Amino acid sequence: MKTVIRLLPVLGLALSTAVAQDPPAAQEPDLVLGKKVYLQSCVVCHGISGKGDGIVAGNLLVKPRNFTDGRFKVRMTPNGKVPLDSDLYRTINRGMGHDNAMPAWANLKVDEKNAVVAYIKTFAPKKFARQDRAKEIVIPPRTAATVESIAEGEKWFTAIQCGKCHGETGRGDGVSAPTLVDSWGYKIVPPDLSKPWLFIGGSEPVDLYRTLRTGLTGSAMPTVDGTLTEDQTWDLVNFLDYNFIRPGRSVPR
Amino acid sequence: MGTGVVNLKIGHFELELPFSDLRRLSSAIAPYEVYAIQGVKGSFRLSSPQVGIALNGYKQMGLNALRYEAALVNGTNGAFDNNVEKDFYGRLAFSRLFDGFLKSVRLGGLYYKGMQNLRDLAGNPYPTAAMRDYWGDEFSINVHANPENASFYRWGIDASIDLKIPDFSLGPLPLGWSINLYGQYLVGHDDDIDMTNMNMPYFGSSGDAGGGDIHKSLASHDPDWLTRPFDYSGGFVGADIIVLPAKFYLIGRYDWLTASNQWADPVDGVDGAYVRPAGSASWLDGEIRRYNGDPMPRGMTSNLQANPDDAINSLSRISIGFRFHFIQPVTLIYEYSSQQNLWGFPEPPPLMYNPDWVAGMGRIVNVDSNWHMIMFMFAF
Repeated sequence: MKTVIRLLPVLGLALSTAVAQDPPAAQEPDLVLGKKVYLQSCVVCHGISGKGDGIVAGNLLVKPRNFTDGRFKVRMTPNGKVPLDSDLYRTINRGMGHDNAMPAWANLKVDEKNAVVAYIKTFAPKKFARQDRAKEIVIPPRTAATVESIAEGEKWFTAIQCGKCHGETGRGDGVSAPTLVDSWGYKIVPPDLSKPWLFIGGSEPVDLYRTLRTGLTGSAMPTVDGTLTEDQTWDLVNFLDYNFIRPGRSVPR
Repeated sequence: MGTGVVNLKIGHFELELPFSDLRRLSSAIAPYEVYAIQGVKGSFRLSSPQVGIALNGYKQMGLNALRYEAALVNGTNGAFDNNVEKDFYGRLAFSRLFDGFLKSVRLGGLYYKGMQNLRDLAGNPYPTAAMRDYWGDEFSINVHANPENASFYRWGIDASIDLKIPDFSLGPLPLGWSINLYGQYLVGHDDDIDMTNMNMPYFGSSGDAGGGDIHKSLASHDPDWLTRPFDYSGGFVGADIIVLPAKFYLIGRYDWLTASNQWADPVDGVDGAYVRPAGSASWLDGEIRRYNGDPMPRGMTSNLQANPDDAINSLSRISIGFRFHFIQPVTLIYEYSSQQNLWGFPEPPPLMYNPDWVAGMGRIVNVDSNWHMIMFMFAF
């Protein structure tokens, strides 16, 4: 039994890696198809010109992304940089989760998803022209979720004041939570980490790592890049995972 | 890639009206009057769910979209179908998305064609032998039905426009509102099935053929009173405003309705002129009074003589309200309506079998009214 418990993190990592796999690369951007998909599935929220001002945008508490400024929350690139095609594809495929209205469009065909990624990029051509220079972060293998690692993570949780927004118990009820707004001035709500929902950027350990390292551009979630090392980031992920996200498991030794 | 959906509905369903009752702030007051009006002799309401089969769907073509429905229903508001007549409903709407302040425009039309109950489920024509026997034996009235005057229809046009004011705020008040402006115009017509003989006697108090003299007098002066179809037109225009998404909504709406050939309002009848002298009231007249006061249409009792052409024939209503979800789990809804003239009051009791009365045929009466509705909702 202990062996199984020890293997869980490894299995989780393997699963997470599988989920986060890059999509098949598009052969040629099919902008005609991309526009068709966009008008069919995206336009009501993101608007005809991609400004995030579609017909239902005014009804939404969390505003749809404005594609024209090239800022995206979920990325494998450093904070503030344009995302990779695979980032956009992943978000389309999986949705945004939490309190966000962006659904998963996994039902679209692969070429349709690739096409709409290409079309979305046309809303911010100058930004995405620098996409080739964007530096993709590397996610190292997960540090084993040992008692020591989790304790270390707890230390960092306190040190960098995660609880200020997420609350000391991860319930999203930190002292700053009521006052949080995004870069556009809209109110945002830190997720309750104990709920079994999809966090923005994903709920698997590898997703948490990426979110911590890159931050969520435009939101109040900062990057830990420059504050924590890669190992310390994994420690923090282990702490979050074992204490808030998937509690109830035996803490490995 | 799917660019549309098609849906087949069988059973009990709401017709796809341009503006569903479900979008109202509450179902407590202020119905969409032109949908809810109950004018036909069968109590048909356009807004009531019907039993039948329908094909509806949505087809998107870039920024344009078509929405449609074709339905075959029994027109009995979901009640057990008591006749073999079937009704048809069709709806077509076109919409287009726009960029900027104007977000979308939708234009549509609807058509409903129905038949009043002319045959029972066995196919026997109305009036059935039992009906004829009853009226013949009891009152010497020859009841018949004229199939030529047995249909009814509704047609309407509608529009809906979505606007979005660019986000800005005035102090703490955010003004980047989303606004939906909408309107419906609808025309309705009900034939008068005329299940009574034009030359029938009124309910006599005594003497020959049940007071036939009085009836003959009415019929000769204004026979249209007996075969008067019901027509109406009206609609509503309104605005739904999202002040704070998921938090605070405002609504405002104006309904109006004009009925022609309606049953007259005795309030506006000819002063001092009675359909019949009070002393000549029949047994049935007495029963009517006992159950219902003195409200009968057509001035058939001792009411003041009511001239339908002089009656109050229009009503209007303005409604405003808001929905405020101010803290979980409490939501506050407030709605206010002010109406000039009422529709559908009073209605005859259902136990009175007269083809006109049992229909719940309403009238516009000169009574103004105001309603306030405050509702707290708790949703945990």
